Amino acid sequence: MASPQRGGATTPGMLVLVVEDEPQMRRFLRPALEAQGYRIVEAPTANEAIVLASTHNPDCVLLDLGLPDGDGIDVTRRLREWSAAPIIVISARGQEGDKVAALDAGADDYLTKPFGTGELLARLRVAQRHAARFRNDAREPVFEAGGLRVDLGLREVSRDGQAVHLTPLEYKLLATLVRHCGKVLTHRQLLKEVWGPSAVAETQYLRVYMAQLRHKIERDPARPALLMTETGVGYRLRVDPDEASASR
Amino acid sequence: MTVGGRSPARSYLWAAGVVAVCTLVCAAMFHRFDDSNLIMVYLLGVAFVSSRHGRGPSALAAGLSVALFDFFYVPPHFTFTVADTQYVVTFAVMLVVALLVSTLAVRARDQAAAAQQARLAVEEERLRNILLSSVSHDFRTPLASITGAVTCLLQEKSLDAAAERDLKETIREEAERLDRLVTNLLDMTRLESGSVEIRRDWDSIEEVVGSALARLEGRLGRRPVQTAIASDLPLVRIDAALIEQVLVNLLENALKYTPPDCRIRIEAVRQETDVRVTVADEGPGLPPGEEERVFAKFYRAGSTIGRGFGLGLPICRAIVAAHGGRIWAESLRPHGAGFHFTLAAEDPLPVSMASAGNG
Repeated sequence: MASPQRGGATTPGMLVLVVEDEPQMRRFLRPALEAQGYRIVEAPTANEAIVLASTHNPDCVLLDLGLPDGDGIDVTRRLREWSAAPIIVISARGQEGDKVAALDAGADDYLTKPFGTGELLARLRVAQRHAARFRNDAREPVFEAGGLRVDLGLREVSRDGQAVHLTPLEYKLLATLVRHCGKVLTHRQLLKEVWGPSAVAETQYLRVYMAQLRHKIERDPARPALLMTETGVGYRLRVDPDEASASR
Repeated sequence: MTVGGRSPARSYLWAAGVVAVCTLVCAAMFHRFDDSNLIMVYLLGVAFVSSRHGRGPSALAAGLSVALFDFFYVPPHFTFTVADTQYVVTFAVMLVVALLVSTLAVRARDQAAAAQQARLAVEEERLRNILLSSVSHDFRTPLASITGAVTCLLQEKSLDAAAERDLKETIREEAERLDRLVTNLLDMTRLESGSVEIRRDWDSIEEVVGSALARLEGRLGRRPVQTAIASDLPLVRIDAALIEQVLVNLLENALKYTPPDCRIRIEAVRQETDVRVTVADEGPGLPPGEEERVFAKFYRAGSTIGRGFGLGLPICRAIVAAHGGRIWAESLRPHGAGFHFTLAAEDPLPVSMASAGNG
């Protein structure tokens, strides 16, 4: 699918398909991405997006959910029929339902308008890292960020060097977030993976276990630095807490 | 036409009732007073009905009056037969009076309603003008600074790095302010028109506090924020995005009206059947006696211009009300402002967490 030399965030030549109908948005996205060494193809409509995706085989897709000729969720579904390239959806605040639908349909992440280039580039890097890991099937067994260390191989968790004891479900939840670190996971995706397909509507399990996990892992559970809530959508394990707060 | 929300059927009943009362009064007067005085009683009744109930019931009152007067008090009694043709004149006058009075009354009422409507229109117009001037002012200020900063960046070739950076920061901050203004205005419009769908789900207050603080991360900066979330809080059934907005608005308010090093405290406790959330600051507090008015639309403490639409708190109130809760403000001792809201704590979860999973 993607050629093997592509990988790191700043590797030149990564091809991004920008599906956006607003010319003003494209006008700012193009220089912002090109300055970071990305190559760009632009599609102003859903139909063109499908055509360009099949002819150019992009490494990543930036997809606005509010297209004039079709529904971004449908585009996501159609792309996912044959492509594994990361899809990052762009939507306005208040469209949480659409975001969740797009994520459940196979999108990898989302951005809420208005967003800064710092946020955009961080999302792209995370999406590419996941794609690379998926291709090589090489899971990094150890996750480290903000004083938290999770060793997926040994099933060990520590906070500032101190071992943290987790219940099996708490560990399963944390390990799921670690495997998708930096990426948003919807309530449905987490419930399905941790509790099984029959529990996808039981958000209260997730609330309770997330609270327990935060109390064991976060320095201040009421101001989490790692286990971030994406209101109305899901959760995200922050990869680099310092970078995230600086880029806002 | 009926007024004051009376149903037509009730108006006709009223008319019949009034005529019945007149008939009883006449019964008491019969033989002691002249016939013409009895007619006066009926006429009074008809005029009374006409003044209040419109044409149909007035005509009924007139007709009934004529019929009953004829039946009981015009010889031969207890028949509808009229011995003396002069009573025909009486009947005609009674009908004309009824229709005349009711027409006049209807016209008067229409005019009053029109006047009321005109007053409302004037009031609406006044509010719209306030909104418009507020909106245009609040939009123009950031737009003016953005335009100024951008043209300066484009035209001045000899800017030093610090000045350039400063101008760019201005553009970003002002753009963010515009975003907040638009969001607030849209939220208020949508909440008022009832087009906001409340999507309740089990949620933890601690988590919503966390996401509100994360959303404000950039603007909180080094501001000391203290959180005290009781450990025994139950989950609540809320629309997390909306309650997060309430917290964001309350925190933004605290940021706006207090000095930069002033501490903000967020507290959540269980209170009987409610969870009570408080956002308190140690700033100058609320103007005395304004604890209720701060929730009014377009209200701004100290008439400070350019700080927002004065929609933050009304939005909070609308959201909390939609959740069946209460929101209020108080001044704190020795100084500071406290904003509290309640959310219903429902029955504890019916699930056993231990058996919920397979891990």
